[in-house]
Amino acid sequence: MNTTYLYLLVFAILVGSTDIEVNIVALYPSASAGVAMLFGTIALSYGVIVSILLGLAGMKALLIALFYQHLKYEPKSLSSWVLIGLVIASLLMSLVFIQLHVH
Amino acid sequence: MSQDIFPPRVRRWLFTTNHKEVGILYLVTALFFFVAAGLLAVTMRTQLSVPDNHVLTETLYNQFVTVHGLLMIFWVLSPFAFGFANYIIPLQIGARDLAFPRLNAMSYWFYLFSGVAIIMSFIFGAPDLGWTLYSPQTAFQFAPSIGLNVGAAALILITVSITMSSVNFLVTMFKMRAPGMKLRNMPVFPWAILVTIFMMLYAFPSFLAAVLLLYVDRAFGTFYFSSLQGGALLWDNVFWFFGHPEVYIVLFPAIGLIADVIPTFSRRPLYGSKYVIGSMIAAAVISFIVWGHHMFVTGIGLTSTKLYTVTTIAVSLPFDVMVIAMIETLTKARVKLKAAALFALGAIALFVIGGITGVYLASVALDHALRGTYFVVAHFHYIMVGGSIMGLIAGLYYWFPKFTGRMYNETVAKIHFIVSFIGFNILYFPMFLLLDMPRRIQTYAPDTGWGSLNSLATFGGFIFGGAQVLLFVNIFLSQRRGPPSGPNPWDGWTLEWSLPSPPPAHDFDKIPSIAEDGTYHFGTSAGLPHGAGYPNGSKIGDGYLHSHFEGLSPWPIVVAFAAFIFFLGLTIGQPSSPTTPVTFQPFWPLILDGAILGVIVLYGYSREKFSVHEESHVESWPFREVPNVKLGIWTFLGAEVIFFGVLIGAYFFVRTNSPIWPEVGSLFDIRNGFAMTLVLLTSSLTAIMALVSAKVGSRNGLIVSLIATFGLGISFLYIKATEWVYLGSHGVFSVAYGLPATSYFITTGTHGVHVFAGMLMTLYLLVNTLKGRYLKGDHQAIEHFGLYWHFVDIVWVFLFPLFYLI
Amino acid sequence: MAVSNTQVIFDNLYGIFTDLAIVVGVIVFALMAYLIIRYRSKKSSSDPEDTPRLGRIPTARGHGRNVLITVTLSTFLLAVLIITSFAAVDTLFPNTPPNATWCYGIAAYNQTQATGQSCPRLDVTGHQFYWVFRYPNNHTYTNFFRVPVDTTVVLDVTSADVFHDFGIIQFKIKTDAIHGRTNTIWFIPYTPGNYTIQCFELCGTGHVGMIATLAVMNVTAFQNWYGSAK
Repeated sequence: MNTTYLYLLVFAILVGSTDIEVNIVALYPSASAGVAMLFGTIALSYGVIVSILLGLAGMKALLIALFYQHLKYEPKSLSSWVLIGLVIASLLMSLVFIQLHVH
Repeated sequence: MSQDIFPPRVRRWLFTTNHKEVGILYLVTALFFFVAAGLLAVTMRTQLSVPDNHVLTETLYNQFVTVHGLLMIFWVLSPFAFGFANYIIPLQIGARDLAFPRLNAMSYWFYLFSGVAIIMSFIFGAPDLGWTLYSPQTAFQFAPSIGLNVGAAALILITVSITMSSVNFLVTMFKMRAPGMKLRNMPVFPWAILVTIFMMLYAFPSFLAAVLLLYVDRAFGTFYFSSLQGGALLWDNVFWFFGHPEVYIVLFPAIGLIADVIPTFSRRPLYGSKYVIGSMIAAAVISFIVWGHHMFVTGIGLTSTKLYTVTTIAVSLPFDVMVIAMIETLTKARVKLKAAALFALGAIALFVIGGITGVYLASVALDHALRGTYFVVAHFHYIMVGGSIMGLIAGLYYWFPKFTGRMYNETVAKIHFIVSFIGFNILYFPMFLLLDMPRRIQTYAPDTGWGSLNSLATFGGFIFGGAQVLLFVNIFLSQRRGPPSGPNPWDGWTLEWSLPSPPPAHDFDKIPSIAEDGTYHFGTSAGLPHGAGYPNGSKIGDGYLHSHFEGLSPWPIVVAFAAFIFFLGLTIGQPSSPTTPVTFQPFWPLILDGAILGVIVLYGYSREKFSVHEESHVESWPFREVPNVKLGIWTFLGAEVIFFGVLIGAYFFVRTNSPIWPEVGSLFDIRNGFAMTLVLLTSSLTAIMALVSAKVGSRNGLIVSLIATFGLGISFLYIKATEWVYLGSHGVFSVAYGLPATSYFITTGTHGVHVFAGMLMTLYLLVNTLKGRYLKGDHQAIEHFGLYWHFVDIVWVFLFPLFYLI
Repeated sequence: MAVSNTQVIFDNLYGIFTDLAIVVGVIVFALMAYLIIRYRSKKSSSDPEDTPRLGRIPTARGHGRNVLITVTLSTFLLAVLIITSFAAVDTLFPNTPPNATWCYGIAAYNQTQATGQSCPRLDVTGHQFYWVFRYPNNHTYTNFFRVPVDTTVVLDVTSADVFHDFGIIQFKIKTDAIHGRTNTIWFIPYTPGNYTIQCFELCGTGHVGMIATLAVMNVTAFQNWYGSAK
């Protein structure tokens, strides 16, 4: 595939998932008791929506890293410094979470 | 910039980029700060020698305690070690310099100016609350002194210096080893430095984030550390998350060089060297999950304290292996007790005591009694002075002949060791017995019974401090008059001993290589004509030889100076109200000067032709096909991950700690966030199109893409600015919105600064494009800019849902 | 002399740590001294056979077995220390402190003695640069407080401003005093007398004088004082 089209495709997915993110906010239980959808009213719990939002953000980040930063075409080792950074940052967050919320 | 206004010798030291000269600069500067911080310590010991003493006022004592700690930790221990690393690492791995020589010089100048800043803080009332800078005492209402701000500027500058060094050394050590110098063939000292910079790369961004939050709280009245939901515990976490790896950062270089010194002087290989290296890696990894032991008595809950007790006690195992390996090295050996060996063995002995007493403090039960007492002071001085400083002094004696080509006086050096060792123990051992006495108190009452042990410690302090005079006299006289040492006075076997003392500017006439059977070969790879040294009239950028080995660049020092001015302006300011100082106004003229100078000199820096030759036949696993600059950028992005990770972590901390938070859409308009996201995503597309255009040689495509990227950056910042103004005018700094607004402004503001920096880069690229560059296969700069720009985009991809949608 | 339950627990644990530390330290230093003396370079001695030479990577040396033995032994020692530490910390700093009994026998609280209920906790607040102690009858004392001997005392410690640390020196116990947080400690004093409370975290100019006194009294004396206090 021509790289230009590939980049445009990635861009389309990025914009599309941003659109989903913005609209999913309407499903928060507090706003109204759910939203009328095709199959009736659904209300997702706060935790589920947050997970979906962060999942989408993670996917968008991955797409940008793989294609725009072309990690997909680089030696795997190149991403190691960033990956180690992510692991250490998530260790920080997990231990802080335990500190704040587990006694 | 004209360089001829300085005499050649001065010019050489100001503008050098040669790793050996930069190494010497580091060593001399670190020793200078060692003396300065040591004098502070001696004064404090004098104050404490008898009860109810008043040599120092309490304020001055507190300032001394703080600056002594900061100086020793940031401006002495690491730079001392990195003086050796600069000089020795390229020699030991068979490289001709570091990967980015100018960046290396810049690291040094940032370090020097940061040191000037911390000393300057005394003019304004130096920080007086301990080097740990515990919140909320750092809030303006409790610490109105401008000195603390200048201290913050110093800490930011040295963090920048250390991050640049980390990137530089990581690329050098992964990409520039001589052929056959596989990672497992490296001596222990380079390994220790490798593990150290790994920790530096990930620990210091956390510190930078912490100091930044502190600065913004003080300068702009945000609430991170003055709020109850953030406050003391937030600082404790972000500070000690950096602080514990930092302990090993200042320790490992000394351990590494001891592990090379002891085998050399006992004439046998290091026992179990691969286990020693493995242990270092293990300890470095664990060092990131033990920070909670500094918070045992903050009330963080039984689960957490037990968890940290286990990880902290577990981290003693790798050190156990290291120490045992060094001791076992002596079996069936031929131990030559030269000064370097004495200091190395002495350092191990003292480190053992420091390590064992560390296990006491790892126990949460004992820590409830020992926290904040002289037991802790004794423990970490046994590690940092006993282990690190004594170890580094071993390195000084060990490599002195290599640096100068002359021998020091062995007898004086041995006396120096004996007096130091005895003085050290008289100084610090009594402190273990003072386990009831609070640290950081200016004086104490006679009926406490602490007087005699304190007098003893002070007596030891004078012995230990006085002994160091022998060191300075010895090296000062010997570097002028000592007998010639020859290339290899210790019969050592690492590569630096194969070179003349001191080595020529280009280090190796021919890059050595190591065959499969472990033998060195000198001269199998293409090299320089023998004797290439300091050609006369060297200029910048006239070819490989000069740029690489003779490279003088005026830019590193001026870039560092501009940053110094800029951060000084940010921190020297007036309180916003003289009666109730809540915030202060930065000193804008200085900021502006620094910024303008910074832009000009950075432009000069990047325009200077300074080519660094990349050897083609080198060991570079696991980054074989990656060019040095690209690897450097990805390494830097690894540090950025922690920086933003900690900023987001701080947001996460106050967010989950707050009982209420504004509902989604009520404070931040989702439409603004949506628009900014689209703008930034589009700019990523234009950035990648710039690269595509450059690759196919389309000048117009490249120009249009760069302009579009720049324009989208402006749009992003414009929307951001309108949102900021709107929020600011609607009272978001009220208490109710304090933390939501604080976290939002700081996190997106930092991100905005990154966007702004990226836009400056596009302007630079645009100028060069108009001059016809990047179109003939030289598009790397466009690609590297893109890597950074997309990273900034990725950060926003997370910030958008975190702030607008959750 | 036993002055409090916390001090006894600390001394026992500190004793265990110190005994092991001395054993380990003596072994390590003896080994080191022995090897240095035994194998020191003499005029007659020559380099060992495997002395590395410039121009070669040193040959590998050492057994994984020895490393394994070292690590196993150390793990065993450290496990002992972890287990004894956890036992001590479970007693001293449980998530829920034991019932306070200092008020038993005082008329205002006498229902608690029969039902085994907890007495109210005492509040301790750190200020720049003094300690304030508040009893449930809302009497407050600066830099001074009293408790009856042989009863359980539970303190809620906090700070009104910066980061302090509340430590009762002879009782070997302390906790951070942090604005917005309450940290709870408890102890049983064994011996009447005066004990020193000091701030253990540098909290500004004045920190050095942030000292208070804890008076441990006989129960009847305490009750008289508590009842007659202003």
